[in-house]
Amino acid sequence: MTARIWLALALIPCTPGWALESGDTVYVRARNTKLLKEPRANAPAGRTLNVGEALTWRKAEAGNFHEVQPTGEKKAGFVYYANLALKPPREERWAASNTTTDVEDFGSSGAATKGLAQGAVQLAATDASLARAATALKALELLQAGITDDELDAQLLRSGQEARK
Amino acid sequence: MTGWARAVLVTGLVAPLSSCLHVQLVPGEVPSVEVRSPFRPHPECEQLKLADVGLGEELSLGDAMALRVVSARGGLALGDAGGSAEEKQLAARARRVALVGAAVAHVSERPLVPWRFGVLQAPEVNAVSAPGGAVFITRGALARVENEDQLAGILAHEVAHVAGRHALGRYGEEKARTCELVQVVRDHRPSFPGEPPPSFSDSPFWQRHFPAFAHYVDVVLRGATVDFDDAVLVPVLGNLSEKLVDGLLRVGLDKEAEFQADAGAVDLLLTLGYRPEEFIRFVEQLPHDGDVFSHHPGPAARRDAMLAHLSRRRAEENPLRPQPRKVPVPLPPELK
Repeated sequence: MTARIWLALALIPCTPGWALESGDTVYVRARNTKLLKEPRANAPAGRTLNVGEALTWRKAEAGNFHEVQPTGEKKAGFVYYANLALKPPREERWAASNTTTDVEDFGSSGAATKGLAQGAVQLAATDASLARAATALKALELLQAGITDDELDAQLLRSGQEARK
Repeated sequence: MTGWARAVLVTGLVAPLSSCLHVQLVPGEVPSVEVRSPFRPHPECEQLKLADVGLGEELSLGDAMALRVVSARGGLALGDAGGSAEEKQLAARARRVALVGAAVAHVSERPLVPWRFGVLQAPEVNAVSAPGGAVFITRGALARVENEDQLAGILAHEVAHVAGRHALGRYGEEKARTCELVQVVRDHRPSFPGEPPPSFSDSPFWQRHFPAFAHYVDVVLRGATVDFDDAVLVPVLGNLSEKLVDGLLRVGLDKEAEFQADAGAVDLLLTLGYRPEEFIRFVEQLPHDGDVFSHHPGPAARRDAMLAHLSRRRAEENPLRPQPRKVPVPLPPELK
């Protein structure tokens, strides 16, 4: 190999990228992620995938969809890129001392409301201004919980899909 | 006089003398006391700064802090979808902010947190977040936003603070400070042969006068989970949340945390397909005087750090990221 080729190789920027190859593992990022039967929004859906579930990546499709196969299953399907991650999402534990993940009920959309923590409710009862704030926060929580998965999907498409234009 | 009252008295008298020296008092009515410098850090207290906090404790503290923020900044602009035209407009705006925030949170490092995104009535230009996923942007900041990329960037900056548990770091520091204070009192307390180590919750003096603090201190010193939903701890929760929010709104987090949140915002924007350059431009145009983001590093330093981070990220290959957008996402009608 000539010195010129060595020099050219040395000048290639070192990019710590994550080039995916068929067979690599990706993870489900969020709850209510559907395994779609076709690589398009509003395609008929197969089963709902679990948060953190490992999937075998097959290939990228047009429109930021990816063909994936749930581990141990024969049938592949399609997932929008924003619902996939290269690392599993961070586990949440209700108490720091817990050894297993025990928080799965809260999601970024469509989740049941958790309600204000009891301590905050009791604190709000000590002051009129805090009580008004508590009422507002409860209303905000209802507003947030009222956002549907369809609305969230449309919002994710709004920023991600238009990028192709 | 109880042992603890004597300890407080002795501490009050001796502490000023003992800041630099170890003082051995002459035996007398008060038993022999070895005074330790109050400025020598206790390792068990230092550990509290970095101790992990479960989501239950985080949410309890975060909800109390959210109450303080909303109360201090004039309430939330929620509107009324069934009200007047103006109220409907406010409701639509609140919903859009919640939706953009939900998308940002969806691709964050902590998608399982119960995120909430609200608009504060305050006219100042600011955004703030509390542990557990309560994120707020002020009406003043919203009015300056020119496109959805900038709004997403502001929310993403706060999401990155929550994901990085930056405010929880302050909470850890508060715990460590409380622990140090208590240890100083313990160090100066007269010791009686055969007496077990003092416990605040067992002390009649502290139980009678400061039951909440005594209970809190015992939990903190054990390194156990603080159950802020316990009614006895409401005064402590009130005090802590007030102190932490006051610090957040007046002084803010440290510069390192702000730079981290900026980098996190750039990452989130890239993942969603937004243009980080738009958020950088928003930051660059912020005045850096008065109360407006005054606790953040200067706009020029933030811009340079974000541009460098963006350049590194763009050089990376990430198949789970859309192609860079050429033009920003226009503001939806309800935000204009």
